Amino acid sequence: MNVSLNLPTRRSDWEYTASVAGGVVRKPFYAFLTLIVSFVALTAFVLPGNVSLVVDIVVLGNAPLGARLGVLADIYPFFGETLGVSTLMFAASILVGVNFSVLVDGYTKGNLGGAGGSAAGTTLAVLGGGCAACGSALLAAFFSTTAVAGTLAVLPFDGTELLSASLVVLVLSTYWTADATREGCEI
Amino acid sequence: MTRRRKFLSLSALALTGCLGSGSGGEGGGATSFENHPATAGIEDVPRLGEGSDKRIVAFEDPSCPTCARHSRTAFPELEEDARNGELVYYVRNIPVVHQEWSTLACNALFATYDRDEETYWNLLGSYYEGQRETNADNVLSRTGDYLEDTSVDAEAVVDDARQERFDGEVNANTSAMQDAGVTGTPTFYLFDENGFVTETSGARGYDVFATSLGL
Repeated sequence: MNVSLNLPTRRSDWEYTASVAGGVVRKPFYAFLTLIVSFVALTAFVLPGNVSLVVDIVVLGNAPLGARLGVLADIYPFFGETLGVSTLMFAASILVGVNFSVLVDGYTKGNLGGAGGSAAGTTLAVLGGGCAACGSALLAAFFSTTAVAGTLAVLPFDGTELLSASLVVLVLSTYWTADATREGCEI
Repeated sequence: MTRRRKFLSLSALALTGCLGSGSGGEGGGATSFENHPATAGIEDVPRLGEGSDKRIVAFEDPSCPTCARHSRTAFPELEEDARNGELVYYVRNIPVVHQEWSTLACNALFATYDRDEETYWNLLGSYYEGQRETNADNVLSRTGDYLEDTSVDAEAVVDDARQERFDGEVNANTSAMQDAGVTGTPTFYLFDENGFVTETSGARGYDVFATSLGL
């Protein structure tokens, strides 16, 4: 069986993907959906390892509201992370949002291409986000502490490799979803 | 309003319970410092400061980059608080990320703490600063070189580390890590006069600790 991977190799592929994604997120409903999903994704990247902190101090704590919000902000990119990791996390969360909106839009038109890539990209981003933010919190949840130790030893950039890989997969997923729409419309 | 607050509290308890944060205590109160799994065998663990009920138990790995970042960001202010008697800061060193050299480093750290507490903190800082250049082949020579300029017997510490004579202490930290449910480094358990306050992971800012403990 001959299996070939559909990759955006031509300039027109990128232009088409950008036009589809742009067309979707320009609609008010999808713009809102993109923002919400991006925020949820960003929270999923940073929350592992700090659920107790958010519940005990931010939600149930006795400190002044400003101080509690400061604690909450600390776990998000650009407040508590380095610029490089923050930028990667932020980009990944936006891509998850855009990707999700394009998927939903495609679904309403009867296309589901790229859904697998979307799931894979989001998973990688969540793993990379947790890894970069907390040492290995989410990797440990997926595997075991021992396996995590071995995994981190072969990640010379402290897990940002996973975040970077997630960006590639999410972009590809968006292309596949857009491409499925194109194939569905061609006669 | 009361119902809403009760719902919020129950939801929070369910959430923390599901995720095993360890904040639940026997009989509904916060777990005491002595009874929390993160503090098992704490009397043998390196600590900074004394006399305060506000305590942090930190699980740190000398080879962990995020721990190194914590040592540069929040730790200097926490160290100042500890030296001023406002806080007691315990460090449980565990080999997680690069186990091959970190196990030797953890042994060397215990061997150093056994001889001179102040040098321990400086050696830990030197591991963080030199993480990128350190590996299993040079960790002992780097340790020896660093300790040469201190009052500690460098040769004896390196020998202890090579023989892994403090494996018992390192394993006790690893057991506490597993019992407490630590899944990454650095992870911090915060306590005040009432017992367990919260736990947090990653290189958090000083304000997170200050707000949580009222520093």
